[in-house]
Order: sequence, then C-alpha cells, then structure tokens
Amino acid sequence: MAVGLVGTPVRRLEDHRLLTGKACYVADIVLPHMLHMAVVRSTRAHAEIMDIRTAAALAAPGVRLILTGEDVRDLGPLPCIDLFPDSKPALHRVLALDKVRYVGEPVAVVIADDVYAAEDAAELVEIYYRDLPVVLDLEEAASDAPPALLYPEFGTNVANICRQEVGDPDAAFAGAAHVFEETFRIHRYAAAPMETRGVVADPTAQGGRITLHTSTQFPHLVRAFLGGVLGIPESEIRVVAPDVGGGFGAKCEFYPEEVVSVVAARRLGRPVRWIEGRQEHFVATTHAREQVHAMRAAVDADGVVTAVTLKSLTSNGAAMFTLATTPASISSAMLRGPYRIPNYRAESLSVLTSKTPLAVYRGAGHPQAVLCMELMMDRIARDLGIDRIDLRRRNMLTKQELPSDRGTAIVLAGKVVYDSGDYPGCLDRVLELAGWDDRLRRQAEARAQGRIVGLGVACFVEETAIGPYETGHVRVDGSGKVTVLTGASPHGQGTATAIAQLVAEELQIPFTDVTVRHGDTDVVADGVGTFASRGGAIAGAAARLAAHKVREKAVLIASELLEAAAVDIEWVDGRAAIVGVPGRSVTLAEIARRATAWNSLPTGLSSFNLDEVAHHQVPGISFANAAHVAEVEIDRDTGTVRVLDYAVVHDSGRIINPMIVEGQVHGGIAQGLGGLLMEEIAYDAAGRPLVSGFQDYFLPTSAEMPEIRTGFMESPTPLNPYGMKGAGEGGTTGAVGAIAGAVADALVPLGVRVAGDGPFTPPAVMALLAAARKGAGA
Amino acid sequence: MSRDTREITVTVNGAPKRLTVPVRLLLSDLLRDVLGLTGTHVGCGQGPCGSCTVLADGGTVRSCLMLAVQADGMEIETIEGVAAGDGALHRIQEAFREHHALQCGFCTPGIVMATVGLLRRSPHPSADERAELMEGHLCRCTGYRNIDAALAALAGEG
Amino acid sequence: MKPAPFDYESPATLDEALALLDRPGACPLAGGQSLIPSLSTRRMRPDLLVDLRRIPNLRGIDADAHSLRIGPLVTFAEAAASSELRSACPLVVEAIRHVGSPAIRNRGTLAGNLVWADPASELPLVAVALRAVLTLRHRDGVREVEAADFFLGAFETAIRPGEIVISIRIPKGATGARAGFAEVSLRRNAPALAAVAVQIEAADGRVRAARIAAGSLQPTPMRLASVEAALEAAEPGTDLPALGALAAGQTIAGLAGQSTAGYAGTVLPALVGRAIASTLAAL
Ligand SMILES: Cc1cc2nc3c(=O)[nH]c(=O)nc-3n(C[C@H](O)[C@H](O)[C@@H](O)COP(=O)(O)OP(=O)(O)OC[C@H]3O[C@@H](n4cnc5c(N)ncnc54)[C@H](O)[C@@H]3O)c2cc1C
Ligand code: FES
Ligand code: FES
Repeated sequence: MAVGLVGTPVRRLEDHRLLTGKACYVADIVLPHMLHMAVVRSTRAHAEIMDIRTAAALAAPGVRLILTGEDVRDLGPLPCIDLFPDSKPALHRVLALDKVRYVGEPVAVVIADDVYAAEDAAELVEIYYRDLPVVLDLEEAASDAPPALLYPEFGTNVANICRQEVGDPDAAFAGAAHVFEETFRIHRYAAAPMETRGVVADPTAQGGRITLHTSTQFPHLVRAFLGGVLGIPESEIRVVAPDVGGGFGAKCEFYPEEVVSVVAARRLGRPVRWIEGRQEHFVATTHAREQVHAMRAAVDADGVVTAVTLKSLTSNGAAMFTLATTPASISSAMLRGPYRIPNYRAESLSVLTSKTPLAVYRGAGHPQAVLCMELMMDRIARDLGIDRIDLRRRNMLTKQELPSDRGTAIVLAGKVVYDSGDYPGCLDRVLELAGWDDRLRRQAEARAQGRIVGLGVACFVEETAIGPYETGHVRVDGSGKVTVLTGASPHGQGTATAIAQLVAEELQIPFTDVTVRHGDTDVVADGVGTFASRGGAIAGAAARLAAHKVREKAVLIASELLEAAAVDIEWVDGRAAIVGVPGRSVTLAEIARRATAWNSLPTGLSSFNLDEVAHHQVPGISFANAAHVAEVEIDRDTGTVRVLDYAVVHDSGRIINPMIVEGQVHGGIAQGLGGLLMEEIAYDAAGRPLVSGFQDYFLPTSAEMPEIRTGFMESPTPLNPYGMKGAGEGGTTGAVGAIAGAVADALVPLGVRVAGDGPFTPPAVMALLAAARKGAGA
Repeated sequence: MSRDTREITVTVNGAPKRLTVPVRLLLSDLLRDVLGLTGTHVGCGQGPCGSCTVLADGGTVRSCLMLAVQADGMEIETIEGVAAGDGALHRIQEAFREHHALQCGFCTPGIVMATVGLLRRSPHPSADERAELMEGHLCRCTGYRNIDAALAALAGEG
Repeated sequence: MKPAPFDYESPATLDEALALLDRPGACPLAGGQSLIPSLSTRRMRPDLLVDLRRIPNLRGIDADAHSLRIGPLVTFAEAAASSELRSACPLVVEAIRHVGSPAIRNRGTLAGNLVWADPASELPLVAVALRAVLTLRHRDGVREVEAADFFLGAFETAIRPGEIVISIRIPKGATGARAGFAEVSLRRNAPALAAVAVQIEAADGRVRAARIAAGSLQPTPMRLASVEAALEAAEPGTDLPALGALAAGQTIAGLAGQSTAGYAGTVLPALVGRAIASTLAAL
C-alpha cells in the first residue's frame, strides 16, 4: 500500500491538532510560577542615552526585576553568521548601551507577575535621550558624506561589500550594440507571520539547565548562539520550537529577547514569558527587501545580452542581524537567473541605516533579483522591438547547457552551479497554461477599448535546499510504529507529513504509523533548521536514508528470525518475507522486538535496536526554477491594480506531496502580491516607522487573490539521493517579477516606465500616471 | 492586576462559569490564560486579523476587542468545542484538512469559528456570503485559494 | 498591548450613566470596536469606562412619519438587517457593507462610529449626506446637532464631556429611494482612501432629491451640494453619472487648498460618477 506514496497528495498528519485548537504555540505555554516580560524600546531613531531611571517602575505593583544595558554589558553581541572577512561587525547588543540606533531597539526589560503589570511598569521607565542625526536614505547613508555614522568607529555606514565577477564585462560593454541602464528601487516590507515572536525561558529544570521555548525556525542554531552569548556550554541549554505560526525568514534570526529572557529567568529562578505585540512586531522583528539596484546591460545586435553590471545597496537597518548580508549576496549572485549573460560584475553593499534591522524574508534576495532582471528584459525587448518571450528564449540556458557553473557564489551556501532543469521548457509550459497568445489578443482588444491591462512573465532560477547538512533518526519500537527525529524545524510547511511519506514508502508501511518529532534540541540532538527551502529536500533525504538503513538492518534481523539468508528475503508491505515461500514472514514489530536490549544481539549485528541515524551532507546547492505569468488590470480612474489571472509552472525536482507544494506556491504568490500592491514600512523624517499593526500594514485578503493555475515539472537534482529540491520560496520570487512585469506592461502605452516594485497602491499608480502626463506635456 | 474586579457569569462551550475577573481583562486573555482555552489565537490584538474570532451568543466577535466583563451573561463558543468529544473532526474541520486550507494553523481556529457561525445561519452560503466571511480573516500562509475551496465544498459547491 | 487600568461601571439606567459620565476621565463604552483597540495600545487611557449595554431603550430602530430613529446601541449588523432602513434610508445599508468585517459589524455601533469620527469612516459620510440629526444627552439636558455641524475635524466632534448620543435621526427618503456607495481602498476591508455616498429619489425620469457626500477629501465629510443641485435640475434623459462627475470636478477645482485634497480629490469625479451609476442601476 505504501509503494508510490511519494508523489501523492496525502492529507497532512499535522492538521488534526491544528484544527481542533490542540496545537501549542509559544504563547500557549504556561509554567508554574511563570513571570512576564515587557520590553521598553527606543522611541528615537538615533540618540545618545543620557540616563535611565527605573525607580518608579521598580516600585510598581508586581514588578520583580528590571534590566538595562548596563546589566548585560558583559554579554557578547548577537552574532551575524554571514559576515564576510572584511565586514564591519556592526552587531546588535542584547540591550542598548549608551546609544540607540532605531525606533524599537530594546533598552530595558521589566519582569512582573502578569503581563498587564509588566506593561504598566514599562511605562514608568524613564529614558533621557539626546538626539543624533538620523540616516534613512539609502544612497545618502552609503555616500562619503552621510548625515551620520551609526558606528563612528568604522568610519562608514557600509558594513559589507559583496563582489561577483564573471568573464570580461568591460570588453562586452565596449563591443555592445546597445547599452541599457536602469536604477530599480525596492521598498521595505516584512514577512509578518500571523504569529508574532515569543519566548518562554525556563530555568527550573534539574541541574539548573535552561529551557528556552521560542518561536523560531532554527532551534539548534538558537541553542548554539545562546550558548555563545551567555558563555555556557550547549549541553546546559535546551531550545524548543513549539508549534510556530509562520516564519518566512523573520524567525530565522536570533533575537535579543531570546537572550534577555534567559538572563532574567536565571536571576529570578522562575520562568519568564514574553509575547511580542503586533505593534511591537513591526519594529522588533526584522524587515526585508529594501534595496536600490543600479543595473546596466550590454546587448548585441541580435538581442543577446552579453554583459550585466550591478551596483546595489541594501538598507540593512541599524545592525547586522543573523543573516544580514544574505539579501545582498543572493540578489547579486542570482541576478542573471536563467539567462546566459556570460559576463557579469556586481558590487553589493550592505548599508547601515537608522531603521529596524533587515534580513531575509521568503526568497531572501531572489525576488529583488528577478524584479530587476525581468523588468530589464522587458525593456530591452520593447526598445529593440523584439518579442519579449523570444528575447528570453534567445538568452536562456538550455537543458543541454546544464550543469552550468555561473561563476558567482552565495554566502554560506557556496558556488552557484545550476544543476538541472529545463528553463525554456518551463517557459513554454507556463505560456501554454496561461494561454499566452490568447491573452495577448485579448489584451490588444482591451486596450482598444481604453482598458489598462498588462501581462507579466517572470522566469527564474533559485537557490534551494542549502546545506550544510540535515539529520534524520529513524527508530522502530516494539509496537512496530516508527518515530522519526528530524533536524528540520517546520512551521506550516507540512514537512512532517512529507517525511512520513518518504519513510513510509521506504518501509512500505501506512504513513500514519510514522510519527515525526522535531524542534526540541533535547529530543533531536543535532539539526540545522527550516529555511532557504531546505526542509523537505534535505531533512527528507536524511530521514529516508535513515529509513533505508533501518530496512537493511531489519532484513538482517529477519534472516535470523526466519532462518533464511538475507538475499532470500524480500521486503513487502512492511514485512520481511522469504521469497517464494508464502506465509513465511515477520512483521516490523517482531523484528524490532528481536533487536531490543533485553534480547541477545541478533546474529550478524553490531548494535541493538532497530534504529539508524543518517546525515544528508549537501554536496552543493540545488537550483529550482519556475516561470510565472500574471495578468493585471489597472482602473484608470482610481489607480487600483487587480491581478486577474495567474499561472505558474514550478520545477523543484522530485515532488513528495504535490498538494503541499501547490500550497507553498499559493502562499508565496500571495506574499509577492502583497509586497507589490499594498505592503510597505515607510518612515517619517525623524525615523519613526509609519506602521503600527495590521490596521495600517495591509496583508492581502482572499478578495485580492486571483485564481492560480499551477503546473509542475520534475527535473531531479543529482545532488540529492532522491532528486528533491526545495519549493518553499519560489511562489514569492516569481510573483514579484510577474506582477511587477504586468503592471509595467500595462502602463507602457501611457508612457509610464516602471523601475521598481511599488508598492503599486492606488495613489502611487495615480501619481505615476500624472507624472507621465506631465512628462508628455512638457 | 487591576484596581477593579467584577464577578461575571459566562457559558463557555456549554459549561456555565462564574468568575471574578479584573475589569481590564480582555476576553481573549480570559479564554486563553484563565480558562486555558489556547486554541483561540491572538495575531494582532487590534481587530484586523481575525485569529481570535469566537462565537458570542452565536455571532462572531473578536475576543481581543471585548472585555471579559462585557461577556457577562453570554454564551461563548471556541474552537475547543467544535470537534466531537471522541476527537472526530467536525465536517468543517474535515473540509479544511481535505482541501489543505491550513499550513501553520495559526489563523485556522478563527476561520473555523466564523464558518461554524455562518453555516448555522446559512447552511449553503453563497459565494458572496463566503467572501464576506473571508473579509475578516488574514492568513499569511495559504494564499486563501484552498480556504475558499474548502468553504465552497461546505456550501455544497465544488 | 494590554489596557492601562481603569474603573468600570455598567449602570442600569440612563440617569445613572449620565451621572457617572459627568466625572472627569469618564468615557462611554458601546461596542468597543474603536475604543478597545485604543485602550490596548494605551493611546486612550480613561479613568472610568461607563458601559452602556445594560441601559434599556438604547437599542432598536423606530420610525415615525418623517424619520427613522436609530438607538445608540444599534450595531452595524442590526442596521444592515433592518428592512425599514433598507427601504427608507438605503444608503445606510449600502455604506455598512464597507465597514470592517462581519465580527466588527456584530459589535460596533453606528453611534460609536460617528463619535469616533475617523476621517476614513463611512457612516459620518452617510450621516452628512442624509442630513441626520444627533440627539445628545447630558445630565443637564438634551440638544440636537445636525450631522454637518457634528464633525469638527479628524477624530473630533461637537460632543462635550459627559454627553452621549441617545439617538440618530435620519429623515426618511421617499419609497423607492436608492443608494450607491463607491469607495477605493488598498484592499478589501481597509480604510477608505476616497469614498462617495449617494442616495437618490427619482420619479418620472427626474431626480426629486439627491443626497451626496464625499469622504477623505478633508478631515470631515463633505456634502457635495452642487452635485446634488445639478442632478435635481437635470432634464429626463440626461447622462446623470457624467453630469455628476463634471459637477464634482468643478467642486474640486473650486476647493480652497485643493491640493490638500490629494488622491481623494483626483478620483472624486470618477467615484461620483460610479456611485450615481450604481444608484441608478438599483433604481
Ligand atoms: C478591524 C476593524 C476594522 C474597522 N473597519 C472600519 C471601517 O471600514 N469603517 C469604519 O467606519 N469603521 C471601521 N472600524 C471602526 C469601528 O468599527 C467603529 O468605529 C465602531 O464600531 C465604533 O462603534 P462602537 O460601538 O464599537 O464604539 P466604541 O468603540 O465603544 O466607542 C467609540 C467611541 O465612541 C464613544 N461612544 C460610543 N458610544 C457613544 C455614545 N452613544 N455617545 C457618546 N459617545 C459614544 C466612545 O466613548 C469612544 O470614544 C473598524 C474597526 C476595526 C477594529
Ligand atoms: S487578534 Fe483579535 S483580530 Fe487579531
Ligand atoms: S495557516 Fe498560517 S496564517 Fe493561515
């Protein structure tokens, strides 16, 4: 029955708990004698702290402890793991000391008997500031004469420079028939998972060990970071990621509250809980995307793009968080996407600004790269009078050209070598799925009627399933049931189901017999986590490898039980049977029981128990690819953009569960759509964010979502034993490119040139139209 | 916690309760922290997200936008009361599972509760009624199409 | 994200409530859909909340020959379901479709919405368009204020400390009155960036009475009297949406400080045209 389980849309194992209210998110954890923490945050974007007075707050009812920067002065800063050797380590402190650098920076914490009392007292903490000039504009911040230096000791606001160089771009530009230049502006927005962050720090375990329950995507890394900052061995720390209500990159960072709650809990000897408020979330959790890309393209007479150069700036905010350079690194390494473009140079600066720290969000740097590349492709096609699909085909790497060493590299992940895929085939498929020619015809008709309709197409290649490795531990106990411990830490992706499918298929058992445990560092000794579209592919491979080893071991044990040679044993429906002898078989449970420690060691075995551990060490990045088509209509009178139709063909290698992958694609598209049409974190001139929650930061609702038609291709990667790549992020990456392309296309006849990602709100679109009219009039 | 408390009587998932609560306690905190019904989630505490939606006297309300004292005399229903006692999923929950209408599950109880309320009033809700329901719920994971499909199936379509 | 401390009373009579509200720092609580979020962020920190919910006679919608009287505890959901409102003041029902989401409409009241006076709110627009009159009670007396005089600025009204709205009176439209509401927002269930409310009574191809107001142009709702007049003067057969759009354009052009009308000003003519068109479609 389990044969062929992989690749089928089985319903998720996770759902029952989630649907009945039995899930346990961090805010649902209640421990005896638990106290509550409120964080006092900077209200200034850049200021010296002259004085902090806590006496009144300490005297408030129910207050147990107040900590300020002085109290944690000796603790190391929060690590950034993707710094380059010559980066300026502008690291975030646990609590601000002497200076604050963004609105929302933690300055003090108040621990009290309940959260109401903690918030009452937090208001009584008095902080005296002396304001310093703020640095908000990205180009100004990076310039030689910035309004201020956030870290004067570095003499610059440029924290990191990431360079890529391939071929000889100068020669290509010298010989180019056409040169195109554009500066693309990408705005700041955020992952905004429905569950905010939160922690419960518990110091009461036996022996004084610390347990930190935290809403994170990578509990094992949190354990390592926490040990590093506190200077205690990891064995003294248990980190638990309970149910996590979405992360999308924002919980793939190590945060000050994960440290300070532990410090407070240890001081007080009682558990301390902190649950981020939604308003707080928009200053205290990393933002995303904000970049400026100055891009040039050299094109020959036939429309072949011979070279591209890029100078990009990323507004990293006031400190380098855990994965701070990754957006710049990925967007520069992946800019060329599926296009050959043999010569390439990029210089990508990570720049410090007086804003909330910025790091990764679904797609990391890919959406920015795809936006720039695809808008540039459309512009080249338009200006040279070449059909834009044709232009893409001319420049696209073919299946025969893969694997292809692209000459670039991604920080932490390694060299960019495209492994497998059929990029032109994928484009063809999506055009067919979208009914492209028909849509073009209808667009022409609509335009003739004065409607503003646009079509966008985005093709991209994305880094997925990065290393370094993941762990899988498969154990069969005497009940015959299987437990898998995985180092992945899923939070909505359905990875437990996917892993159960893989393991159940390997062992040919019902997949409901498989329990997948994750997220607790005491249960799963080693792991890396869930980010960069790595969970299913890497952790899945590790689990399946372990299951395979279990099966091999089971056959050996069975050969003793059945008194038959291992070669004469076949594995059918979760049992070991003697080939050709009906009725002579043993079940998984019987085999597992034979291997328990209170029996003698089975013949030929070197260890007890039917369990095996496997690491899947990733030999290189596997690259997924996709093509998206979006159709939009713009209301001429109001500027409202509506996405009318959407088609996507996605290739993430071998698929474990198409229902889950399609769900990932849908969710990703919604996030891309939100970022382009409505989500923005703007700041006023004093550096105060203009967003205070979901009442002024607008996520898309069901009403804005188009119908989505999804097709799949499966180009297995040679880098994974089962051919699987990652599928978590592509929806977002493609949607950003396709919707921006569609908006740009819609506005072409009106003389508007789109060089950015909006957001294309009704007022913004009306302003573009007005500017174009003015330009045309002048 | 607060200067002032009140005694209230509420029925929660069919069980009457008499409780003394601080007057500033939010209904969401009463349910979650006092009664331990943590299936009601708080995604924003401000009204827009809908994850805290429960039924009060049969109508949907945001539990983050009610004081516990305002629930005095009311009948509150939460996600914990939806599935059968033996753990079997309610048909709404079954439809959500069948259509993969949830990923992280954080928004899900609120949407399920709103659906319970809608189907009671309107056993075969029209597309407009379903769209109206979804006005009030944010989901960051699913992209909504599968939620809409689950609702359509419950309405007897699709 | 938790309210600061306050005292709370839920008096059983109006007189008791008025006496409590006379205390400094006292604030009435109706549905709480604007108040409670502000308490939670501590933007508002009243000393005493006076919950109106137990007071009799504050619910319900009554009609006399000329007007409908909406009690201050009538929720959006109740109003939207009222057949009397639907037939005599259809604009109220049309506008409510744009307010929040079902759960918000189940709790929030029309009166609370008017008193909150958010410039992006739909109901103030309707109240001004339909010439609603608010009855305000204080422990020292009663007064009536026309909607046009009630809104003084963003989140600012003529209501004085200690006063509460005890009824919203709306003149009845003729039988067969129809309404249209056009709004632009960033997405479904987001605050209006621009909005136009229209209610028309027509007979024999002529507009007998037009009631039109625009929101988001300025901090308070703006009645579009010249557009109303243009429609009422129009000959049968006139393209009314086009006429209305034209008149709205002239209004905007003539507005002092029109540049501050910004986006809402830019799209006003089109929205007026649309709201009129949808009204006519309903006729
Ligand atoms: C998520 C969300 C979305 C929303 N969307 C919209 C929208 O699209 N459009 C819109 O217009 N509104 C919207 N609102 C706002 C809201 O629904 C209203 O403003 C509303 O419900 C207020 O009525 P209430 O009964 O809840 O008033 P409360 O919140 O109880 O009170 C509001 C104010 O009015 C005072 N008050 C209440 N009743 C009286 C009275 N009888 N006399 C004197 N003062 C009184 C209170 O003291 C308070 O200052 C939204 C709210 C939320 C949370
Ligand atoms: S938590 Fe109540 S609406 Fe978001
Ligand atoms: S399933 Fe995660 S927010 Fe809806």
